[in-house]
Amino acid sequence: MNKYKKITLDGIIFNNPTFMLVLGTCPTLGLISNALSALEMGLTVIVVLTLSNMIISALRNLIPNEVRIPCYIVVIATLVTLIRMVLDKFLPDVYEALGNLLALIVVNCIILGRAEAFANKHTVAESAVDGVATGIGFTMALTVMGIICEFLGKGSLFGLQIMDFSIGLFSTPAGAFIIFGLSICAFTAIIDNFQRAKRVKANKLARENLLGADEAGNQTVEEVKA
Amino acid sequence: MTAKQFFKSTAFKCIAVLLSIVLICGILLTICNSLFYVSAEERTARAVAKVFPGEEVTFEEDSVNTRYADTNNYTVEQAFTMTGTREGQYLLSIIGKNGYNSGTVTCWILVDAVSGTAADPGSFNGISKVVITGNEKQSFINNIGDSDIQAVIDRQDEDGFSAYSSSGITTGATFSLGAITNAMNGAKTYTESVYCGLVNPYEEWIASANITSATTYTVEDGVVTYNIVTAANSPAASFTIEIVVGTDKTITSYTILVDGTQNWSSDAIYDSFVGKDAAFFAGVIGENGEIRDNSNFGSNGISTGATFSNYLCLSAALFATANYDTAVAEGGNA
Repeated sequence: MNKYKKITLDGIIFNNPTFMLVLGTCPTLGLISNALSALEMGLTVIVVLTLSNMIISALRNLIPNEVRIPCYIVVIATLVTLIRMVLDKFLPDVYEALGNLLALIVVNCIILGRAEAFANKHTVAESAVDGVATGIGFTMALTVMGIICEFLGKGSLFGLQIMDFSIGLFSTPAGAFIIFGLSICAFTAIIDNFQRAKRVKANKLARENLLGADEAGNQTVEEVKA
Repeated sequence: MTAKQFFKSTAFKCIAVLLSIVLICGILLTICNSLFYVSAEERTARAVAKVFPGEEVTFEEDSVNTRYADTNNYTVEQAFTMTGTREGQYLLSIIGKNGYNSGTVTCWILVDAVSGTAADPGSFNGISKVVITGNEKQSFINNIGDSDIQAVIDRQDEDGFSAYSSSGITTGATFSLGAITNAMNGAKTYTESVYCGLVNPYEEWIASANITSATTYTVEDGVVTYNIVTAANSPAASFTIEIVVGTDKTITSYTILVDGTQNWSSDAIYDSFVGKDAAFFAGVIGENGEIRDNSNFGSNGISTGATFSNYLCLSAALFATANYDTAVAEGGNA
């Protein structure tokens, strides 16, 4: 498989930061009661994650191993502060909607985790792809849960009221936690089933290949005897 | 270790790299801060623009009068006098307190009023608009729609706004709506006091925070009979209470004339106020009304499950008993 395709699939699905690695839980629980805020947070994380991955990958040969974590933190904090300034200036509604959780991106374990686990071992291009893919995985997870929570909790989707009925619990972090847990269950079950089916298919293929080789081998022996 | 060895060591490399990164990031942030700086005026204009979407408005920012800005029920954060086409309106940023889970709701409130002075008072003419901009701990605030807020605006009477009287507004977020109502009543009180010159005659009296200017009293043979009209303390609405204080400065009669609790209050509870003096009531709620705690109420044997109403009734009782001497000296105003 093409390595970029593998990095992309890992980031979005197989190592999805929210559902598979359970990272970045703080903004997840804080924001998924509103689908739009969840989407905005996800897009912000994509930008920060991609840039931090690229910068850290570019500096990986310069930064001594002993001070790599402080260096990563400084780089990530700078990027988050820059993003906050830009949002405050040009997109104040987004800035207000994300509130304090925007500043907390600095300590989002997804970003530091990808810097430590991926960016400092791979090229800039690979790190950029990983940043985008992991960010998309995070954004998708947040947005899907945001849609569910907003629909159940407020009867609306992206702020558009579509029904009068709502269950207030799902507008609260407690409701978000329930949806988060159920989403992890559902996502893990889907991935498990997919991987099991893939394994079964691979085993079947291997067995057929093995049987084919046996038959070919027997024929050769008979031919030899003849 | 020699200097040469130090400069070749890993320790020096670590310091140099870390300091370099910090320096570069610092310079970058300094430049970006000057590029993307948002001034206080710009922030104010943004906030005001949200109250008047699609409309160009002009306004002048006023300094907040601290004397009337902060009570147990609300805090006025910013105040503006609208000019141009919206002359005669005042815009206030107010935090309404006592919401769900003791949280708050922050609102912009647009007030219609005629300005005046103490000598030539103006008038408060109502609230045109309420825009909620933030909240703390109000998990169910999304249940409150524009129609609910409009219903509170429409239910203004001389004692203020009420969300929770004989025909309550059902939202599923009673306490959040209560905090909004507190903000609206705060806007009324602040506008009347600061812009209209309608100064509460009792504001220099003891424990007068919840006593409105509609209150009257008479003095006869050393016996003071008050007709106290309290402010609303949402979800409780305003109370009107007749309290008679005898020459021994204790309550001899306590009668609720207008009940702000939808008849939840118990006469037996308030009958127990008879014979009590200012020291007793101050011990329960404090002269500044700072204590509002069920356990405190309960320890004095007056817990009813209607804490907000109790608070108003206790405030009225404290006001009546604590100001006995002042009332006698003034001689009455009814």
